[in-house]
Amino acid sequence: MHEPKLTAAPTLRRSLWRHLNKLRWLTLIIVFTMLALIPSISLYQTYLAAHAYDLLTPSQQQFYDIMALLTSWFTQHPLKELDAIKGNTWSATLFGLQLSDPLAVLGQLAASLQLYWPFLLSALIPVLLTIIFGRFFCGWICPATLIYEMNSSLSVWLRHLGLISGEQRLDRRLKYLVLIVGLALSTAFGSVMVALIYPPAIIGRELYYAIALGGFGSGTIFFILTLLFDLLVARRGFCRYLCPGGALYALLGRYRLFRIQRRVEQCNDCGKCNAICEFSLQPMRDDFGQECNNCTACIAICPTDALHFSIRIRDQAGQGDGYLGPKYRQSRREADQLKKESGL
Amino acid sequence: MQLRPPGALRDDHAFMAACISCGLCAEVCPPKCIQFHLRDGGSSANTPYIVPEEKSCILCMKCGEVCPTNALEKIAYKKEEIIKQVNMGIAQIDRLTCYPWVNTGICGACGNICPLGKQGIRFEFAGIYRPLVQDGCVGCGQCVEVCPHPSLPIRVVASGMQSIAPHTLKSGSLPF
Repeated sequence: MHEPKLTAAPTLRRSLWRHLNKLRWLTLIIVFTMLALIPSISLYQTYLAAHAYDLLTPSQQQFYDIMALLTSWFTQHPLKELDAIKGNTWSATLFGLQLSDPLAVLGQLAASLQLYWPFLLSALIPVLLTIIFGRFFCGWICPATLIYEMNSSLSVWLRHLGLISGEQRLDRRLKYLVLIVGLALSTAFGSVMVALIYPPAIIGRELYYAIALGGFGSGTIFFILTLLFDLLVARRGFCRYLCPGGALYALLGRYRLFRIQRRVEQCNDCGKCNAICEFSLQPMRDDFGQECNNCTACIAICPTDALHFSIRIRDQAGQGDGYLGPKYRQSRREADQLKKESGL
Repeated sequence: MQLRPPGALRDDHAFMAACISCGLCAEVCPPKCIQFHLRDGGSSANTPYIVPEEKSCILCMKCGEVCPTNALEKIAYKKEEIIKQVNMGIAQIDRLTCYPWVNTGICGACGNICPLGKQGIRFEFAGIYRPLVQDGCVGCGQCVEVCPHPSLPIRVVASGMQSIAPHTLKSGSLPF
């Protein structure tokens, strides 16, 4: 009788998908650096336009020299050419291409109740990408994610030290309520209220205020409060439960094409993916849903390469225990035992 | 006086509804005259404004060009277009202080700096003496920056506001 090989060793050639998480960190850091660089460039252009080098304070002159050095590598006419990249993740112009956050468009629509087509179209590319890749903005671009993930690591350290850190579970659907209430308030007050509670917009703005204007707005205070919320109430709580932008992206990416999927034959039920998931999803139970932001942390940590990207519009739910896990092997053994006893 | 940047929608409520506070206008502004309501302003929080007396606008019209939502309208960089469409405010001269008006000398600084030339500010006597603000003035505030008088007899006020001196004004466009 054919004996199924139950102790099949995982393939030794590991897939390259697990390096995606490093790429993601690189992207996040680049985006954040750019958000700090663009206001600096803008300030440098002001000094340049005014021919004001002799009037600057020594520290400003130092700043001017550094920016001159940095920009001299790729432009000869900084005053003109550096205008090519302006803005932040909320709304930006990249080489003449207008890009806006879908939430900005929706919020502005709610506030003004008027269609302005060029602005509507500027969200087209982000929306299309979200339909294909789901909540990728949250995991791969959002400048707040970088800080929130570091904050989340900090909370792990605090827990190691025996200090309090929040592990409250709230309802994930809360953020859809926040989105709806935010839009309703935008309509009621006639100004884009969602911009005040949306961390990526806040960070883009506040970095500009801090660098170019030398002040900080109310957004900084709000952002610090969200950090405290994450630390003391719920891990990554703002993204999970409250972020209106995350809610919008989740809705848009519900039937995304690229989603992480578990190969049940390669899973050994170790549960590391469930523990690492920042959004408290359960990759090991095939529970991704619309919340998954394709951050690939679970792919990176999976010891048997059971998780991978697949092209399909729904999760393959309820695949059961991993074939390499103890539970599945136990059940197989029992089944074989039964077969033997029944004499077949 | 806080004024909206050039090309801002005339109705300030419409402006607040249209502005998504992305800060692009300020990022492209060469003289960095555009500021924001940082921790004030209520529902106009994070929206841009200019205080022309602190830092004047150079009327380069870059902010309107870059504004994604048309809260700042696109206006061509031409004198006629700027005069026709920009309406931040209007300069006002206090005739009890201004040097030529109180007969203490010939100055003409405001008229020389005005980017709109004779349509912005004109001189009453022989083209050199006693400045008079014209209807074309858009309120950029460059005259305030160069005014040599320590108490600044020339100021920019919103067009609908009460004037600091009673003379030529078209009233009623900006609601603050």
